[in-house]
Parts: sequence; C-alpha cells; structure tokens
Amino acid sequence: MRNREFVGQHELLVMLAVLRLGREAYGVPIAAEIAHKTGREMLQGSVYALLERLESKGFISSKFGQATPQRGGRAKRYFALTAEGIREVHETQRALEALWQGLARTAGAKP
Amino acid sequence: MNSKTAPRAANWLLERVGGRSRFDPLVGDLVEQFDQGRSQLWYWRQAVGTVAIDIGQALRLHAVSFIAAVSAGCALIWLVDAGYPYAFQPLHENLAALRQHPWTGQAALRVAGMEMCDLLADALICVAVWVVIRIHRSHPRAVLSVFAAAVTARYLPGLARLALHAAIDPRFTGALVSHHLHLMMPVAWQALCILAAGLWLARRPRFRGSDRLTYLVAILAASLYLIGGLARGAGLVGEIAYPLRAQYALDILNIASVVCLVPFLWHPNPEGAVR
Repeated sequence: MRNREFVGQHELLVMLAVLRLGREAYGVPIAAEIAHKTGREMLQGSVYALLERLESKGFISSKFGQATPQRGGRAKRYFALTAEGIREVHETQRALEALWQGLARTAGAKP
Repeated sequence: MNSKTAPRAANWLLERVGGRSRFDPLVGDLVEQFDQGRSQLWYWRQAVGTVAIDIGQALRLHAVSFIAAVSAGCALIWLVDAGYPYAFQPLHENLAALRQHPWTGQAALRVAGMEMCDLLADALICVAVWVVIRIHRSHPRAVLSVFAAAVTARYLPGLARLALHAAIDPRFTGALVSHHLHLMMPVAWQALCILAAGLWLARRPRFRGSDRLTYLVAILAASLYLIGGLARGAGLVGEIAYPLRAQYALDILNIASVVCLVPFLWHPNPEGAVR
C-alpha cells in the first residue's frame, strides 16, 4: 500500500465544496456551500486556513481575480482542485465506501 | 446592503497579523458579506477567530523553534543581568571620593566607562534579540512580543509585592512609589529595547523603505539614550547636580521616544515580506 497523507474531514468538506462550485469557488461561496449542505457554519478564516493547507499539499491551486469596489477594492481568490486533488477525493470516497459496506447490519448502526 | 462601513480596526488587526497580501482576499470576503447585511459583531467574531486560528496554526507548526528561541533569549538576558554587576563593579566603587573632586580626568574616565558599560549591556540585549529571531525566523513579531513579555514577567512578582506593601502601609507610599519607578524604568527599557532592536533586525531591507519620520524618531530616541546615560554617570560622580526627579524625567522621555519608535518599526517595509 502506498504511504500517503489522508485528508481530514474538514479538508474533505472544503475540497468537495470547491469541486461543486467549479469556476465560482472563492471564500464566500465555499463557506456558504458547506453551511448549506452540512448545516455547519465555518469561520471564513478557518476555510482559508484549510485551503492554504490543501494548497501546500498540492491538492488545490488558486488564482486572483479582479479587485471590485463591493469588496473594498480587494480581489477575490479563486480556488480549483488539481488533478492530484481530484484523485485524492475519489480515493477518500472509495476508502469511506469500503469501510461503510456491511456496517448497517452491525448493532447500533442505522440502516 | 449594509449602510455602515466594515470595522477598520478589525481589518487592521487582520492585516497586521496575517500580512496584507495574504489576508487581502479574506478581508474582501468579510467586507462582501458585511455589505450583504452581516453585523459588526459577526465581523469582529470572524476577525478575532481568524487571528486565533492563524496564531494557533503558526504555534503548532513552529512550536519547537518558538519555545527554543524564547528560552535561549531569556537565558542570555539572565546571563547579562547576572554578569553585569560582577564585570562592572569597579566603576561604581569609591564614588564618594570622586564626588569631592568631580572635574578631574579620573572622574571623566569613570563617566565614559559608565556610558560604555551601558552601551555594552544594551548591545548584549541586541545580541540576545538577534539570537531569538535567528532561531525562529518565520514570525519575528510574535516571537519578539512573547520574548519581551517573558523578560518582563520575571519582575512582576517583585513589583506586585511592592505594590502590596504600599497598599497596606500608606506611610511608605511615597518611598515605595519612588522604588517602583526605580525598578520599572529598567524593566520597561529592557522590554522596549528588545522590541525596537528586534523589529529593526527583522526588517528586510533595514534602511530602504523607512520614511523620514521613522528616522527622526530613531535619532531622537538614540540621542535621549546617550544624553541620559552621560547625565546619569555625571550625576553619580558629582560632575552635575542631578536630582532624582530629573533622572526620572529623562528616563521617561527616553522610554516615550522608544514607545513612539516601536509602532513605526512594527509596520513591515512596503517591499518587505516580514510577518
């Protein structure tokens, strides 16, 4: 088995949100998407900390957009999953599905 | 739309801690959401939470070098403080005999020696600061602030005890306040010296990018420092009548000038990437 670093739960949430948003993935919609789909309000700073960590791992890339007056003259930073990031999401999904299989029949677990 | 403007102090805090270029998109995101109707309280919660996360993350990533830097700096300062009285004791001996003949070559040499040993002691503090920021390079401002706080903290029990004595026995309040001042001046000076020297050492580039006002305040602080040291030495050997109040006034002026200098040095250079 390949020795690799697994992504954490929050990192996976952010990666999936970026994947869902496509070209419109910057700080505000990423946090909103996570809140909308999971009911978890994340601090904007927390989202950025996770994005920076994922970028340092090579799973995410970013580029700056145009500065707009609505944002006090500050540019948006758009994020996108790299090929390695997409592969990582799929591998995590496969690993989770493998672990879930058959678990519904065990005591205490909801079907 | 929000009719109010986003809290500038919160933006300032974010930019100071995270660096303008790094947190610019984040501040933009907060401004955008504030403009859509979020409250001031929400904005502050986001700013303070982000700062806490950033500091926590930095500490987690660099905890070993951070603690090593502060410990090494404290050990060096302790060595300087412990060695200073032994090394320069002769300069402070037989001052009473000199006071009878203050305007002699020997007295002048003694004053010069005292000034030199003051300069050397502060140069050694700068060496300790240099060691601290060399060990932990990634967050010079954070490590310097903690180092200055750690150096200051060791005096706090003594200062608290004196304050307690003054509170219990009002007859000695005057004497104790004077004693307090006598103790607090070097403590404040040491902490400010650490911050000012460290911030200057961490600047890249050190001189280019500084504005004229920074230079002026630095020259004022250095001049007051030299004048204060000379006046203290001359007062000790009796060359000038140097009442305690005048000494305190000069020390307070000197400390105030460095207090003014620290915020100038705290700002990164326009082209520098110091965090």
